[in-house]
Amino acid sequence: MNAKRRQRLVLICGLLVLAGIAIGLILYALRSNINLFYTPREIASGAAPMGQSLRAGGVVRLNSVKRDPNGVSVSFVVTDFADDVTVHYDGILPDLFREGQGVVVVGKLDDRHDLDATQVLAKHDEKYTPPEVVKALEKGGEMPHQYRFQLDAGISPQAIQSAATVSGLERRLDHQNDNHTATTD
Amino acid sequence: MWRFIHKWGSPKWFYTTTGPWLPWLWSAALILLIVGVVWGLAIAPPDRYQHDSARILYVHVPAAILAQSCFAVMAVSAIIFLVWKIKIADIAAMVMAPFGAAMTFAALFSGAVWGIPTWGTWWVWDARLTSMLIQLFIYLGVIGLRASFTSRDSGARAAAIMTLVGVVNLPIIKYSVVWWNTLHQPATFSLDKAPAMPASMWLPLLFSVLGFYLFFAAYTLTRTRNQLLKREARSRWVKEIALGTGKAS
Amino acid sequence: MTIYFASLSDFLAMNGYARFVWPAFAVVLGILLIAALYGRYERRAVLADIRRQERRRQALDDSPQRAHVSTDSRSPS
Repeated sequence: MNAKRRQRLVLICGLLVLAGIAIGLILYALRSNINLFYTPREIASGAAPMGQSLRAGGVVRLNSVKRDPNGVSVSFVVTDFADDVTVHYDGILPDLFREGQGVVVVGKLDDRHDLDATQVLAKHDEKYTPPEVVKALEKGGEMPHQYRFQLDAGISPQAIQSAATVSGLERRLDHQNDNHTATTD
Repeated sequence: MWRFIHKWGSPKWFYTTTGPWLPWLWSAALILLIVGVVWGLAIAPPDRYQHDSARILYVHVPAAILAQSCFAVMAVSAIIFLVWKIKIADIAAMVMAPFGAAMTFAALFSGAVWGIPTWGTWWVWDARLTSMLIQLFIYLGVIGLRASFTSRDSGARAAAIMTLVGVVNLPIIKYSVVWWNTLHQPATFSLDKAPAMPASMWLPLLFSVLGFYLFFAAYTLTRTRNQLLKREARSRWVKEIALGTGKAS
Repeated sequence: MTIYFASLSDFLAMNGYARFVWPAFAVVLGILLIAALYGRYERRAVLADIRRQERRRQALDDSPQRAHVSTDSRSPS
């Protein structure tokens, strides 16, 4: 490789490193703004703004969905297993919405720190499972609670792990699982 | 190594050597695509929650993978062009750009259509979707930058440099679902874990992804050879091919 | 390994997800089809262009009064 080519190669590498550093710094500065949603823990600690539209993300707590018998309005609790946020919503829920499902809720915090939602989005996890497999596992009693829970929750195992380290979650998780088995049809 | 690169830099050698590959590449791509798509649409099981809408993954995932792989290959071509001044590398980068842009659009479109039943929305400004939209703009920027120069060499150099700068978006797309809270789910496949999907689903997906890769190779080779003929139109071997007089074909 | 759907109409209906599945497949595969056809079209167009130029050059070469023009502008490289 002659000197001129080597010079060009070094120049290109330098350019790449510089561009990488620049963008890395920008992303670092913006890191909290890029997050799509606040966790219930962030909302409880006051990190989320009051009175303006925000998104909250977490898992719909089991046995927390209450539908208003007279209309379409529904309320449910979104949890990250550290803190809870109660959500009030009247509108159409996505097909995937169910208890134990990961959701992102768009809305405003009211003075009770409840979220008045304008939109509810369902979050799917990275797992794909044929219905037959699930049925077979359930029938054989081979589906471990932990797996079953993660499958339902629509959140990644890392997220559960990190939430667990924050809040001594293991116990609560077990409790949720017990609840879950009790209510599973 | 250097001799190898320079051999590939010879237009006539490149054209005559790669000619016999094309029918094989195109037919292999077609077969893999048909197997992947038919298997994914008709034979693979649905997802227990998303039901049959999950079948969109057999085109969404390969399109998204190709959108990123195509740009990575363009970046390698850009380095080869800038350092060794090999024109074929520039031609390849030029024909790859619209394909990459089309694949980015395909991934965004199929993702939006999939989002309606699954998420309850076709678009959300989360880090994965936004970084993918930025990728589309980077592709369009590279194409536009090249076209905006009257001198072919200046346009080629500008497009190559913009491609190299744009590469930083690739790790951002890949890790967006890890670094930030997103609506898009994290990766189903990783090197250190078993896939979060049974073989009845990842096998057809594998066929589909390989089919897209081979299609990408066949398309790029076909168009690179076309553009090579165009640029070398004055040389003897090209005229022989065009007029059907020479031995080279 | 069997066909998942019981009938062709079941297959087309996609259990109610037809209006999402089919457009997604149509657009993505349509893009591939256009890309493949464009490669074919481009090859024909380029070759036709080269042939046209070559014919024009030969025509100029054959006419003696304008022969110098052709050698000026189209000297073989």
